[in-house]
Amino acid sequence: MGWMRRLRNTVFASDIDETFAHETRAHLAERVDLYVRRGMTHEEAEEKARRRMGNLTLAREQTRDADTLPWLDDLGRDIRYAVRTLRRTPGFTAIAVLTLALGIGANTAMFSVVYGILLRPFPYGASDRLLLVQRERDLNGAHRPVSAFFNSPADLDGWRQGLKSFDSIAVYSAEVAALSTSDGNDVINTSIVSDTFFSTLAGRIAAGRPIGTVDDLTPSVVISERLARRLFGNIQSAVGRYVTLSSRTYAVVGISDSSLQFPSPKTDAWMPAGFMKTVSPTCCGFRMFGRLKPGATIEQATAEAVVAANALGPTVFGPRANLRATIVSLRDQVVGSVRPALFMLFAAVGLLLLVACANLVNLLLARQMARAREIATRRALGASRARLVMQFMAEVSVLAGAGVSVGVAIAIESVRLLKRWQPPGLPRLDAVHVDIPVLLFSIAVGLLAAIGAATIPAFRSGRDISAATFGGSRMTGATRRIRHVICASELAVSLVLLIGASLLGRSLVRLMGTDIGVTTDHVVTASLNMAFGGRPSDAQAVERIGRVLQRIEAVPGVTTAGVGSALPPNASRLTLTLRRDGDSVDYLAAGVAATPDYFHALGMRLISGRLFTVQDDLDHPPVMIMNLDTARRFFGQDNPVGRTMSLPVSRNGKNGREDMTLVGVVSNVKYSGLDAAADDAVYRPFKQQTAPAPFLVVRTAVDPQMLIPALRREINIADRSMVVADVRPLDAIVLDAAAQPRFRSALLAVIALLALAMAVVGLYGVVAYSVAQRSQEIGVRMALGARERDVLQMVLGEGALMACA
Amino acid sequence: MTKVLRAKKPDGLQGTLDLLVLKTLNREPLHGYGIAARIQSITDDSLRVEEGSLYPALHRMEQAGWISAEWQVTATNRKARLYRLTREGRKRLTEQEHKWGQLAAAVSKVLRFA
Repeated sequence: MGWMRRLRNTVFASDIDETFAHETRAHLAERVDLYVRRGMTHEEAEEKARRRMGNLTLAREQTRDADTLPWLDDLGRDIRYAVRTLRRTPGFTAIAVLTLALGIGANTAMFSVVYGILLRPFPYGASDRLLLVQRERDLNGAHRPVSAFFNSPADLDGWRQGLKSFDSIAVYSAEVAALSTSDGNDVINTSIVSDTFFSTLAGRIAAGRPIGTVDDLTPSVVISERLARRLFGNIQSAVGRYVTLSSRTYAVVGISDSSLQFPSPKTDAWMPAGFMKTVSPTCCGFRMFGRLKPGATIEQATAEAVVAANALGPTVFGPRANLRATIVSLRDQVVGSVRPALFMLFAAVGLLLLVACANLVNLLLARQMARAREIATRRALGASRARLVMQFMAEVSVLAGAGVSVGVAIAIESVRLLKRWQPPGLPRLDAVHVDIPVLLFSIAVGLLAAIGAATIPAFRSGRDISAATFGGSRMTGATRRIRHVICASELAVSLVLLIGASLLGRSLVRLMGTDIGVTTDHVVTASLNMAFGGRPSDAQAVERIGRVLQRIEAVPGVTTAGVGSALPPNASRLTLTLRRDGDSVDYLAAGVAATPDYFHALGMRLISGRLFTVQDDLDHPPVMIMNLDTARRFFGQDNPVGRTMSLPVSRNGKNGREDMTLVGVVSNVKYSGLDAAADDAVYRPFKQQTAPAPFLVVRTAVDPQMLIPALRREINIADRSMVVADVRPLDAIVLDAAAQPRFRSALLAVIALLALAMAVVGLYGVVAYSVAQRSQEIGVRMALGARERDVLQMVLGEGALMACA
Repeated sequence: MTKVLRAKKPDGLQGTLDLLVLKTLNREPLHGYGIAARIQSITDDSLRVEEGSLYPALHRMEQAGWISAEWQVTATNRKARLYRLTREGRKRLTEQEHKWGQLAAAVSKVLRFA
């Protein structure tokens, strides 16, 4: 390969001239010998031989060009020259590189996040064809997803017949289970899956095999790599071992790779649905997903799902259930909620890059002015305009190269920080890396920035130089105006970013300051679970919870303690559907089974009537408490206390309805998110309506964090088989609920401040430069009697004018 | 009549120099001086190559892969680069000979009939 050799010759500047010299010397010598043999004197012979050779210098140049890539050689020289000149002005170089590096670094980091989360394929086979089939129930205008696709295998068969454009469908449910280990019980996330789950998902299995049809009726389990390492030390030896989940023993048939994160990244065990249905017939709210046939469209799938949902809906929910089916791709389901925020941040770093480029243009223009005389001299000595532009471009390329390198370093570091921070609410963080596509992006951005920034100065240079030749080193008016416009737009862009950031910040403050209806400070909460290994009877539940509360109230520092089946701001475990007489649709309400002190511990306000007492048990008439809005909706503006209503109840797992009397009205509380409206809520005394997995709420007189170990210990003493999880202060839970908005506001604020800092540096540059240029003029003004203040006023006025523009 | 050939930018004459060099090397490998001397003796000194310009042409053809070169000690005990035709170069030579033939025929037709 000729050009490879030429490239090597160019880069290593090897012995090509020497070769030429050697060859021609030998050639000359032969000829001299010949002429001497013909009888010439040595001098004559040499003279004649030389003449025969012709212009050797020209030949050497041409030979060199033939052996190398001359343009590359030029470029190399330009770059070396650029590095030398840049080194002579370390201040300029540092600022230019830093500006570019920040712009490129921010863009690279953001792109790696966007690419990893939104674009990188999921680690499942042909993941673009994985669709979630969801059913929603219209509850008084609010569409709520419902599960329970599948109460019997026959249900799933019905769906299979209806969804013809799917290759296969599978159902799964997300449940928690108690993991028994040598040091007690622990709650893990599990999924109950149909036999087609793993074949439909086509995720990676690290060892063993996935659960298939043969396992459906057996106690087998696939566990996550994480759990396998924790329990058995390594993956290989875990296959064939046994784990105890919620008092049942399962054989481990396979270990899922850490990339298999469905239904959730936290899922640690997958168990067969067939087996679960035999041991616990009421088990599981299933959801459905499927793999679309190649060539089939989402629209087709949706149409089929709607038909199937209408055909199969009434069997589960009754004829008036108002069901509808929707289809959403796995990607949209997982990342849809963060997409707008990520795009917004991406746009913000784009603006940051714009500011960085503008700054670079300004710096380059100023630098070019400073060197105008030098450039004019070089032109006069015969450098072509193209050559000068090439040299200028080389300089910019060196800056861009350095900018990209430092920028990538910044990006790698920020991605590392981001991964360590693990902002909650940001899915697929494990798919975020700085890898080849990201690096290509960053190089492309660097090139684009360099070319963009170099264009204006490159084309201005000619004019400025002619101006410089005649008028000393002063910018032409046009160039100065360009600099001013650039500066003003930099400020404008960074102001836009700042305003955006402050808006986000304000809505964040409002969100965090949302009144969720309870007092969050000095409250510790925990989630309790008595249902692992079998649902307790109502009497057992009441007795066990009573024992736990009694122990906890004796702990020093505890003011009062209660349990309830919902926890603000975003957890509720029971929902009720209520219907007003004459209405055709149901209202959805949080059903909260609560002990009397639940209200006190959360600091809820009693508006009228009374709270529950210890007497509200099965021996007394059924009672309820409503929040203000619900009471108004059902009973109007009149005093609702004493009115009755028929509500669904569940006794020892059996569902029924009962008339109950409203004894009190409390303030509104949010149970489904900070940014959601306050929920309709119906409270029932725990003794009349138990819940197997309630939340514990404890009001403390001391720092709640300090009581956490004591609470865990006391619960364990009171009831060894009670599974406790998530013991945390309520404040922290509220903070977490705002995690995603917090993440994006914080990031946008950082970006905006960076942009502002850059703009300020740019402004400083322009003003300082114009002052330096006008030092003569200023000197004259002062000599003529202008005071320091006047001059200051003039300079500040000009700066302010730019800022205003 | 003496004609001076120079290896310059691609034009008809450069192709001619290439053709001469390739043809000369087709018989046996030679070093630069040998090539010049051979062309000189065959053409009875009427077609004189400016010898220095032989080298850019040789190096260019070497980079193009038509000829290869290696250092050797000559009969007169001097170190020189011996150029040798490659397979690629032989192909090139056939092509160029053919083209030259066509050109010569065309020119002579013009001379005869115009």
